[in-house]
Amino acid sequence: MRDPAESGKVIAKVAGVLFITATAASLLSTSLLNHVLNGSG
Amino acid sequence: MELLAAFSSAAIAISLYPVLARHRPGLALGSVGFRLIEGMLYAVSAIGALLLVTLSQQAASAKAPLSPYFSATGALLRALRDQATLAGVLAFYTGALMYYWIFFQTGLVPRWLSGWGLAGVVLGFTAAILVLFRVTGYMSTLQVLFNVPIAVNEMVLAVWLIVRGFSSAATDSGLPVSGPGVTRAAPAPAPMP
Repeated sequence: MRDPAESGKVIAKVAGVLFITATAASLLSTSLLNHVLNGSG
Repeated sequence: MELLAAFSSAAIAISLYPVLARHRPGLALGSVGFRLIEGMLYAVSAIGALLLVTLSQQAASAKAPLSPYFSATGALLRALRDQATLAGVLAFYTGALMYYWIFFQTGLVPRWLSGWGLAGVVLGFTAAILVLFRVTGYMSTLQVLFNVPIAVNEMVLAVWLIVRGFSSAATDSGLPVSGPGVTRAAPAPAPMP
């Protein structure tokens, strides 16, 4: 059975990368689409 | 880009589930559910934007590009995109409230960070409700300002998780529970008579 502390570290790293990806993608897509559709950023 | 946001949003809660479920299985499952709904709605929003591109291409090649058909369909697709995004944002705040609450209760991340997240969620949810009831506009200055705290918090939380991880004391104290994605600790063998 995998050590909970070790698996917790891996999960934290994966979640951290996903948080950055989701937040950056969400902000960029909202900003870019708003710019294209409304002509403002 | 929006599809990437959709998939990674859902993946966040799924990846956190094994850790969160050791502490609050119900809330952990709830956060997965709401962030899956968020991802689905962001995908709908992205499809709306792609359909707008198709519509504009058809309008460009049409004999009467300024016909009411194109403007009405375009307005409908934009409304679909905005409403799907707004509903997705509401699902995000509900899911995020659940895991930030678990973080706050268990101390998996420092309380200043989870408390900041909870405050950001309340502010962002308030802004989304104001947009829903048309008190303020979609992507208005008020909505953007109310969303800054949670956006910055998510970035700080991400760096914290990558560099420091979860608090080892909180990770070890979580009682193993049954459920999908959670491994139950093997029970101690009964003493032989």
